Amino acid sequence: MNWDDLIASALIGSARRPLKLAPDASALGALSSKLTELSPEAQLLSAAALSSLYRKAGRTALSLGPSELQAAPPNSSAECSFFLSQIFVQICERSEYASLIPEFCAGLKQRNLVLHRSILVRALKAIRLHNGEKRQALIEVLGERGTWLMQYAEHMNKFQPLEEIDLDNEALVQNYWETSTHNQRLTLLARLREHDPARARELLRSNWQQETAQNRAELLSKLQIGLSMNDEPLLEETLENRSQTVRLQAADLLARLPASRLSQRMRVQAEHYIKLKAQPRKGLKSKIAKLFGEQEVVPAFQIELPPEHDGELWRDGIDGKQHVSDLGIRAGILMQLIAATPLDYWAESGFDQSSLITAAQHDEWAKAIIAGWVLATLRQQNLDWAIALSKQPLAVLQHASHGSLEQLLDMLPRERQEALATTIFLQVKEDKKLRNVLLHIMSAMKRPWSAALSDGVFEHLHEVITNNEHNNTLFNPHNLDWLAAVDMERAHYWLPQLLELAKQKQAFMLNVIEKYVRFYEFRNRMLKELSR
Amino acid sequence: MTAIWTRETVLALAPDSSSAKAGTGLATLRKWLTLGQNEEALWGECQGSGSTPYQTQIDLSEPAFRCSCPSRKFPCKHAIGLLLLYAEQAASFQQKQPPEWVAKWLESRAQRSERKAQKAQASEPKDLEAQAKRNAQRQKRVEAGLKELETWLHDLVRNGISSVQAEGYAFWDKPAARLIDAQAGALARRLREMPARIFGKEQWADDLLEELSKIHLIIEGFKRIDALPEPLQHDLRVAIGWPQREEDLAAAEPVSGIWTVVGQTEEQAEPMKSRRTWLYEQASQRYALLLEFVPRFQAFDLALVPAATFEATLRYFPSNYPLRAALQNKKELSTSPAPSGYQSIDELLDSYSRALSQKPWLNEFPMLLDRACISMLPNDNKRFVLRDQHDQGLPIAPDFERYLEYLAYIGGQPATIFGEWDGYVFRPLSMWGEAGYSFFGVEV
Repeated sequence: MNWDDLIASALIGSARRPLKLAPDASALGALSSKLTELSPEAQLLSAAALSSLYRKAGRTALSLGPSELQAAPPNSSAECSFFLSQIFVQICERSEYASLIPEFCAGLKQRNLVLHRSILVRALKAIRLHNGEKRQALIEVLGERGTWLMQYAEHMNKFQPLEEIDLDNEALVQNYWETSTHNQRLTLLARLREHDPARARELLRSNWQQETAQNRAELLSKLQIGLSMNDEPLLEETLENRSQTVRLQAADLLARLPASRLSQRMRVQAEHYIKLKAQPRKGLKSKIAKLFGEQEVVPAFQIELPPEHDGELWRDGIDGKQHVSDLGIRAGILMQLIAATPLDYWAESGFDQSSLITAAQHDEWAKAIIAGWVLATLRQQNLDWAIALSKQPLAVLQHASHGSLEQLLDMLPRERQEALATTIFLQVKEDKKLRNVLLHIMSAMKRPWSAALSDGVFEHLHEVITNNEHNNTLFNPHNLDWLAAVDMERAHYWLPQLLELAKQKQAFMLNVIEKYVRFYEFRNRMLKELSR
Repeated sequence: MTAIWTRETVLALAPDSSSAKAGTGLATLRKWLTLGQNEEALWGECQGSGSTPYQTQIDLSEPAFRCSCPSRKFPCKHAIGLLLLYAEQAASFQQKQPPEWVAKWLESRAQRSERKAQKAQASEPKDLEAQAKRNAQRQKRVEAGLKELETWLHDLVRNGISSVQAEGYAFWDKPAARLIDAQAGALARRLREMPARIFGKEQWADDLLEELSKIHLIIEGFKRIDALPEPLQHDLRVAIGWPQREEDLAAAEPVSGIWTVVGQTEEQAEPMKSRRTWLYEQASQRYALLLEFVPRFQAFDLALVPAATFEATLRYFPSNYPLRAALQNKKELSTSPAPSGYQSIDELLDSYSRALSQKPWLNEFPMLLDRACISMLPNDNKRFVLRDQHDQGLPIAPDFERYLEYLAYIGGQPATIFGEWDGYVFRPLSMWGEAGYSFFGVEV
């Protein structure tokens, strides 16, 4: 009585394929011979019952080879307490607490504690989620047990094993490159660019022909990491590619290299279409200056829009078919041209960046010029231009694409950011238009903020609550993420006062303040628990 | 007493995860205005959002809880918080005379349990005649229902089951509804669970045929039920749908011993949730299964916390292979070292075969394996095996997802592992390792 026969008979039906009970010498065979009297249906069901029980009852164990699992080395530090574990769970679960990870881990380390075994799996998830300082802090408090566990987790492929690949092992990298999925290859290429840009470039070349256009463009984009003139020949060659997506990607990378042949061609084009002249400054102040014989000059633009169809521009990745942001087609070409021209070119006019930016705002093509400069600044990572542009944040917000101001600010060192924020903070009380600018600046600023800036923010908030300014967009209850960026000590000083004040005034922002008070209370509980 | 209250055991009492979380937040000295304890009870006053503090008290003997907060959850977050605090910082609870609000409650509890005991002694005479009549009626209904089911089942296998996988719920609901009318609820449940069992499964035909053959065995068994030994008659009746009532246990032999809670599973459903608790008696190596059904927001029997050990008498429901039991009385909660069970997988498979020969419908077979571990199959990161000290193995249920948690607890050392074996896969429920007890499926 074979189980497969039983299944076959049951699937087709006992009417079409009656069961053949052939008695045999086995115990099961002996039993099944007793079934012959029954109807075909009962025969089939009884035989199935017997057979499945027989199989289950006779089940034997699997013979396994010796276990490959190595036991974890003992922890050399004690595990943290239950309450610290609970605090850690909350830090992991609530994104607004994630900023506390480094402080929490530092506290554990100071007390020579490691994470409790019950929270190790969570910690591994957090390690996967975060990078930089948070990731490093977590790794340091895993203890021997946690480190051991991380190895197994990677072995299980739940966590990117790629991070462990030895990039100096050429055969391994080659093998990984050839056998991985597209996304894994993107990650590998990015890591290899940081490590050895030339080898990454060779790897990319090695199976360039087999890639689809979309994949080529995505892989090519990784050359942005560690980009240098060494990549220029390959990129220039790629401008001949049949796919427009790939060509645009190559052109974008070349525009980041002011010395590239593409950038130089753009410069020639810019000379042709955009002329810069000096003209006397207008206005009363200039007139007075003139009386004293001091002629002040400012730049003026003379612009001829490029034609819609230009084969050379098109080859260099300037798209004349689509509207770029909300510019017309020809103005869009002008913007792209400026964005690909080396920024040094404008300095040759003898004017500094600030006066150029001021002048551009008065030009008919202000939007194309400023947006072009912003894009060029980001591509070429030109710090002088970034400083000059961020000093005129309203112009950037008005003309350049969304998020540009934040990207420019990100290029600035912390002191520059702070100085800028402080200046605007002083002006915002007078000029409400600047609130929006300030929100952009605050979201881009490096955290945590200095004590001085934090004090400035809190003082202003104090005023807002006192006057119950409902319509102050700066402290919009839905947009208060920046409160988590203030200096912790200053928050500790200010928040209780503000809470009290908000309660007295029944201020509209009471619930928001309470939310941040909870954050600081949580942090205090954490610190207390860490010091116990 | 304190030994039993660890964070895991306390959190296991919480009626849901949000109470567990809220309770954890309250387990800090800052939140409590007063704290006290005596031999029987713990109490504390917790500052809530209102003007008067909540008065929270715990009778440790059961345990039982009471709190003046308005929460409908039981036990409430204050009780969980108080007990957690006790588990971690027992020294903060001063031994003292209970205040009036605690003393009153303890007294009323003592009175109530006395009254209950008196009531139990004065058992009511039952109307035996009416009962016999009801039984005869049921017997008749079931006979008719099973006859109808047999015709349906035979039609199904005659025409072939190949099209069944594509059938919707209605295909099974129709005969199931007829079985409900015939008072054969357990059989009806088997039919209703069928679509979920076979839908989208690779081995669906094997599984379906096996289930159908089990139903066939029940029908055939019932035809000659009078010829069968009495315990087997009970098993058949339960498999059909006769209820098992605790009051029917009076005739059963009481079994005393020191029982340990070795595993637990919960199922949330509307409006009742259910819990299965496996007990193990080390000296006799016996297992017992307790089933509880309570409304969704209520807590289960609070003494049955994982790893709790107590002296108790229980009675098994009559069966050819008795497992399900009811707890009669228990006392002295404590924790015990790791229990010891089977030494090898061969040994436990032998026991399983014997159990099957006594009760062919057996679904879950409880098993405690010593010096065991769980390992991943080579080159397959989604399949796991239970491994004994002789490198013999059993496959683990494919939905097992807590391998990393297991490794984190055990650190690669052998452990005593408890779980359920269904003849095909093993489902791990708990383990005792170097750091004591831990159960699978509970998030910290």
